[in-house]
Amino acid sequence: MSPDEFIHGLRVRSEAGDPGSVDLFAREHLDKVLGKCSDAQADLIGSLMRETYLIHGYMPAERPAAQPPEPACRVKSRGTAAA
Amino acid sequence: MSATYGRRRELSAIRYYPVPPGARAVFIIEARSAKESRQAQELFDYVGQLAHVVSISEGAVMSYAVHVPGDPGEPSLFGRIERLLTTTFAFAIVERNFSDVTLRLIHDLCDDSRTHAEELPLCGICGRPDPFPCRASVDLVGEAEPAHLVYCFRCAEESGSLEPGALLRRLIGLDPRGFDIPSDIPSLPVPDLVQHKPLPDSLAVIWDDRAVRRGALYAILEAYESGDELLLNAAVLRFDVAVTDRLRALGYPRHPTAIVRICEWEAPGRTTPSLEVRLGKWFLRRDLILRDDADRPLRTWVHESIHAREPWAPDWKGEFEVWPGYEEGLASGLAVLILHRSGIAVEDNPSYSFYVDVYRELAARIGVEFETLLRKLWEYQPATIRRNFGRIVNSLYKQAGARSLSKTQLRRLRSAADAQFGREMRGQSCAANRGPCWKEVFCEP
Repeated sequence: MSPDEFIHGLRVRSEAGDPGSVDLFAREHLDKVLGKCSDAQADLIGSLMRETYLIHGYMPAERPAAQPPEPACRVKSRGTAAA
Repeated sequence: MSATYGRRRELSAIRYYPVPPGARAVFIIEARSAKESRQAQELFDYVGQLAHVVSISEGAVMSYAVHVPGDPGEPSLFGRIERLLTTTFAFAIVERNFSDVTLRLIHDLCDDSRTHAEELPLCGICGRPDPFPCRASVDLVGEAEPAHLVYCFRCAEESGSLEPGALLRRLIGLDPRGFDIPSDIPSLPVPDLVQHKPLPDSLAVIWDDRAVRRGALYAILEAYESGDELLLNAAVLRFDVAVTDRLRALGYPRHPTAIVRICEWEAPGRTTPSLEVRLGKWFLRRDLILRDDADRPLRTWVHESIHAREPWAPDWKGEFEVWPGYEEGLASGLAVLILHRSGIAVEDNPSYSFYVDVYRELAARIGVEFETLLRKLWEYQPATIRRNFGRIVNSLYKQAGARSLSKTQLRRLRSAADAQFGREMRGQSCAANRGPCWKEVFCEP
């Protein structure tokens, strides 16, 4: 997929107001397309993603969190705040 | 309780070190190996670049008191440290205060584990320890050496809300060692502890040396890909301190509750309404690895930090959805300006360069420096620029020596601004057909 095709696909999904679809599309192609992009194309991709996610309050699912060390973490937190 | 002396001593000068208001917390960590001790030490070395840190014990039980100057509310730093601890150490306690109970607990743990506990300063009135006491250095009549006095925050609080000089006089007056304070001697603040701590050279150099900047960003990327959460957070914290310190020095501080996270499938940068600055890993990777460019990620970091200057207006969507250019033009223009002022040549983000040019032309039209306009806009909460735009421009216009804008001109201003800052103008070049522009606003009706 060329950067222009990717931008078109992203724009269509962004204009449809579907951040989940933008996210899936990005996961599928972003890492490969970014290497072929000019700076302007990368900035445009970035702004399409950011605005779609921002307006819809969308948070892409993250990679699985790193495992805490063994034994399982026992963090206690007390109190609230103090001046 | 401190000893009471038989005779009263007269002071001839008071120099005090005021403790700014803020929040305090104590972090206790069980370090099960030398490596974990070192990790804890490194972590709190980083924290020491952001806040005041006092080590209470070192060894199998590592404990630190942290004081964050500023609003006494819960600072985001405590949450960040807590998150680091949860992902790194098997046992940790966070006490969001400093109390006798906490200190007893630390001493018990230190006794059990044969860990050395530090002596904390003792209050001259109640005798209780305090890691961040009010301090004064006083000259005594007839004595060659000054005396150093220390008072805990509890005694300070009980003395009521006084300005620092008066508070110290009150506390010295309560000191059971007996000091007479003539009314005509001055109380002078000692400035070096009042001011913000200077940025360590190793952090300032992130701005001054591209290779160091690249290395610091590469460390973030490497830590992210290694899955080591502590390493990642420490690397992000290091870069973030350099960014926020420079912003503060230039007069554009980020809001203290804002946090930065590296995210897998994000845009290059996005700030959420809860002031989470999210930076996209793939874009960072592209800039660093494929382009060998450490300046664009810094531009993004600064850009997002400008969006995180204040909590957003509750109705932020109203402005951002239809007219993103008011805010994006500000963030993009200011980010580039800040980098230029630091000797880093970057271009505007082409997605928002149209908005930046619109502001640049406006500044020229009303006769003020570009930065003067941006600074004025920056003072407004995100998503409130549009509703205040007429007032902002009018005040700058008058400041430049012109007459106040007429109602007709203000109406034209709103219409021209909305046309130029609309979503559809994103990514446009200046040569594009742009509809109404500033010239029509400022011509006489």
